[in-house]
Amino acid sequence: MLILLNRQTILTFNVILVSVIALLQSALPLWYSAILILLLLYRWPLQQSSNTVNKLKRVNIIAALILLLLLVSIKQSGVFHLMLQILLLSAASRLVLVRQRKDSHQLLWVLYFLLACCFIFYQSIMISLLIMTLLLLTLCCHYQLYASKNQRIQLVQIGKALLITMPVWLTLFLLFPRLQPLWQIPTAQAAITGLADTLDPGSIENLVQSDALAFRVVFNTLPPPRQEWYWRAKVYENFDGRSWTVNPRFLRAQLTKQATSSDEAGTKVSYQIIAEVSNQRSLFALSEPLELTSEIRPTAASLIEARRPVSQRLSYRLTSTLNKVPADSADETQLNLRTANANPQTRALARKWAANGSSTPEIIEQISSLFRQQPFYYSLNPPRLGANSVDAFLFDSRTGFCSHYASATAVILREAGIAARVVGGYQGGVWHEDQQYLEVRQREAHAWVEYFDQNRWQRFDPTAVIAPERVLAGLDAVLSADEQNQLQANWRRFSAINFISQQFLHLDYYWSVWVLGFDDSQQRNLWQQLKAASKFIALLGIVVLIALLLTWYRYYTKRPAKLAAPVLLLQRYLQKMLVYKALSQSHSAFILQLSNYNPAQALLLADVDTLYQRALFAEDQYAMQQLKTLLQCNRKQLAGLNWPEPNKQSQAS
Amino acid sequence: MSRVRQQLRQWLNSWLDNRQPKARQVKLSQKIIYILPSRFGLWYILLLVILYLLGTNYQNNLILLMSYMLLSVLLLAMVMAWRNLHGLTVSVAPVLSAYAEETLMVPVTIQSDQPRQQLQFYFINKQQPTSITDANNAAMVPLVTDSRGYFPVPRLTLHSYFPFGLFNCKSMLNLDYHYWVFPKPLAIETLHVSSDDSGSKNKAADEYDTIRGYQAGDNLKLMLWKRLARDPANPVVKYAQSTPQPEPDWIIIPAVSGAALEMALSKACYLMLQLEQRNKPYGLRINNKRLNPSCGQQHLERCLRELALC
Repeated sequence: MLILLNRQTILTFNVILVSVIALLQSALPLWYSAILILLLLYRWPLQQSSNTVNKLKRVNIIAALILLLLLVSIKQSGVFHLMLQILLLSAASRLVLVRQRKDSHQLLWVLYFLLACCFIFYQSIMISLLIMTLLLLTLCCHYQLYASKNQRIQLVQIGKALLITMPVWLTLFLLFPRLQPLWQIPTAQAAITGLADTLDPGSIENLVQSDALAFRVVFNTLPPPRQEWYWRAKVYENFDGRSWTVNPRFLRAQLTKQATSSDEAGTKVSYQIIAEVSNQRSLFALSEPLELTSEIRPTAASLIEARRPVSQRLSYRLTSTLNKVPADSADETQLNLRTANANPQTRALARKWAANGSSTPEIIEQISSLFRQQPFYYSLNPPRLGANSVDAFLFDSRTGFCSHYASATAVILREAGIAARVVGGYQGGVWHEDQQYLEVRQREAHAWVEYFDQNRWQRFDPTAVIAPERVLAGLDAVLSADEQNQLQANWRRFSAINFISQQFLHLDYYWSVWVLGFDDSQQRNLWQQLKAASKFIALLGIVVLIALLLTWYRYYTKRPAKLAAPVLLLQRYLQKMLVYKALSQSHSAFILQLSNYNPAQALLLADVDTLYQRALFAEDQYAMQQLKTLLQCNRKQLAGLNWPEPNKQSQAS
Repeated sequence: MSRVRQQLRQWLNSWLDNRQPKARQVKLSQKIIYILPSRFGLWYILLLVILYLLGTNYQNNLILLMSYMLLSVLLLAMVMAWRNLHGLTVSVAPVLSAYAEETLMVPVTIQSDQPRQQLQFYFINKQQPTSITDANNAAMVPLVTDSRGYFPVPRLTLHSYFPFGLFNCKSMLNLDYHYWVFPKPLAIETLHVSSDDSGSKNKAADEYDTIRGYQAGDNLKLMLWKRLARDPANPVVKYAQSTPQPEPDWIIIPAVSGAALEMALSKACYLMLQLEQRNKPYGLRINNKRLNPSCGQQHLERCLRELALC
C-alpha cells in the first residue's frame, strides 16, 4: 500500500541524521561528512516539486562511488569507523530516496543503531541527554508514521508513555544479567592522552598544563592518608641516557596469576576508579592491587591494565594493600640494573658512594641530603638540558620538575648497583568532602622512583624531599604565582563560572558512578539484597495483589446493572427527578411528563429528549456528545426542576 | 507440499472456529486478537539483540540502557496494538448480493467507544486492504465473487500496524452472513418482449449473431449467401442458440446442465433485468418450479435467487 511520508517527517529525519553526523564527527574524515551533507542537500530541490522522484539508479551510482572512496581510505579509518561510515552512507542515500512509509524502515533501523553508536564516543551527561532527545525524536517520527494523519502527538502522551515504560527499562537495566564481552571489538584509533610510554625530561611539565580530568576515585573503606595517594600507572625501566621508556615486557601477554605474597598485614583499601578516556590500556592503582573486577587484569610490576584501550569512560573496583610492591621475577632486578653509557659525572658520584660501602638506605639518605643541601629548585619551567641530561641537571642547572628528580635518582641508584626504576602516575588529587570522592586531573601527573631492597620495591619520591608541599597540598602550593597563572585557563579565574563548572563536574560524577559505573558486581549485590529481602518483597507483592483483587471485586460488584451510556447520563444529571419515575415508564415519557410540570424548561427538556433518543436508538455518537454537553451546560436548570408533591398530584388527579 | 499446506490451513481454520464461533456481530476480545510481529518488527528485535551485544562488548551502560528502552517501546507497542483492537464491535450489512465475477463491496461497520487508528480490512490476503478513516465507522471491503450461488461470507481479517508498525495486530472474524452471487448477465438481443407486437421475422433474423455450419433442414433464409460465394464448400447459416424462445413474459430455463445451463442462466438474468427495467411483468420457470409473473424489486430478487441456486 502506498503511504507517502509528509514533508515534516522527512525534514525531521534530515535533522536527526545531520545531528548524528555531527556527533560521529570524530569517526569521519571531514571530506566524508561534507559529501554526506551534500548528498542530503541533493534531495532539497526535488523536495519542492514532490512529483519528481529521485532516480534510484542515479543515487545508487553516487553511493557506489562514495563507497569506493571509503574502501580506498580504509587504512586510515579502521574497521569500526568504516562500519559507521557505511551505515551513515546507507542512511543518507535512503533518506534521499525515501518517499513511502515502507522505505523508512531501513532508515529507522540504521538511525537507531547509529544513535546507539554515538554513546561509544560520548558518555558525558549533557551529550547523553542530547542523544536521548534525538532518540525520542526518532521514536516520535516512527510513531507518527503509523498513526492517523490528523492525530498529533501531545506532550502529555509522550510523558505518559515514558512513565509507563520507565519501570520496564529501569528494572531491565538494574536486574537484567550482563554478559562478559564476547569478542574483541575493533576500537577506534585516537589520540592518546595521559602519560605516554616515553618519559622525557619535559613530558610531565606539558602534561600538568592540562586541566583535564584523568580519573575519579571513590573509597569504599576509609581513605588512606594523602601521602599514600601515589596512583601508579606506568613503570619505566629502559633508560637511554636521556629519556625513560616502558620495557616491552609490558606489551606481552598478560600474567596468568600474580604470585601474591602479601598475606602479612598491610592496610587494605578498596576503592572504585572511574577512568576517563585515554585510549591507552594502562590504568591506575595504589601500591599493590589484589582483587580486581573483570574489566581489568594484572600486568607486570603489579600494574593493572584494561582489556583494551580505554576508549570510553571505564569504571573498575579493586582492593590494594598499601604494602611495598613485590618482585615479579628474578630478571626484573637484572633489568633494572642496566645503565646507559652517559652521564659520567653522575656515575662517578654514585660509584664513590657505593665504594664507601653504604647500604641501600644510606645511599637513599645521601641522595635526599644532596637535594636538600645543594641549591636545588622545583620549577615548572626548567632550562633545557643537553644529551647528558642527568649530569646537566645534577651539577649544572639544579632546577627541575618531578621527572628530573626521579630520573636523576634512578640513574644514581642504578650506577650504585641498586635496582631502580622510574614510576609514572598521579599523586594526590582534589578531595571533595561533600561528594566524598577524589578528583585526579592531568595536572596531578607525577613521577617517582622505586628501588629494590629487602626483596621488595620500595617507593622513594625525591620530589617529597625538595618540595614536600607538592605531596601534602598539591601542585599549586609549590608553584610561584606566575607559574600558577600559567596553569590556569583564563576562564577558570572567574569564580562564578568556576563554581558552575564545579557543580557540573559533580553532576557528571554522580552520572558516572550511578549510570556509567553500574556493573555486574553492583548488579550481583542488588540481586543479593533483593534475595535477602525476598520475604518482604513477596509479602508486599501479596498485599498489592490482594488490594488489586479487592478493588477489582468492588468495582465489579458495585457497578450498576449494565445500562446504555445515554441512560447513565440521564441518571447522573436527573438523579433527583428520576426517583419519581415509575418502573414501567420509559425515560422519554418521563421527560415529557417532567416538561409538563416545568413549562419554563420545556424547550430544554425537549432537546434532551430528542438527543437522548438519537443517542440511544440510532447509536449516534455525535448526538451522544451533544447530549453530554447539553446536560453539562444546563446542570443548574436541571437541578432546579420541580416535581409536584405526591399528595398534590393525587389531589390534582 | 500443497497437501500439507491444505492440511495446515484446514487445521488453522478449525482452530480459529473453535476460538470464535460464528456470529452476526463480533466483539473483539482477548481471545480472538492475534498479535504477530511484522517483518519490520523482526528486524527491530534483531536490532535490540545487536545493541545488547554491542553494549555488553563495549561495556557501555548507555547502549545497554538504550536497548532496554527500545525493548520497552516494543512492549508498549504490543499493548497499544492490543488496546487498539480490543473491545471493537464489528458487523456487516445483512443483505449482500452481486453478479458473478463482479466485486462485491461488503459494508463493514465498527462500533467503539474510543477512537481507533489505522484499521484495515480484507477478505483475501492478496487483496488490497481497505482502511477505515477516523471519522467513519464504516468501510467497503471488496470481495471478488467467482461463480453463482449462496455462500457464507469468508473470514474477514481486521488488522492494524498501529503503533510503530512493529506488530501486525489482527483478528480473523468468522461472521455469520451469507451473500448471493447471481449469474452474470449476458447481453442477448433477442428481446421478444419488445418485438412481439411488431413481429417481423426478418428483423429477428438480423439479430442472430453467431454462425454455424449448415445442416440439412436449416432455414434457407438464415443462409449467409455472401460467404457461400467465397467458400462454396462450407455453407454456413446464421444461428441463434437453440433455446426455445419462451413466451414473452415467461423466462424458462431449459433442462440442460454444465456450460449450457450457465449460458442459459446468464441470458435469463439479462432478460430479467431488462424486463424489470421496462416494468414488464415476467415469470420464471426452472425445472419444476415456477414463479408467477410479477414485477418489482422483490420479485426480481426472488427470481435472481432462484437463478443463483439452480
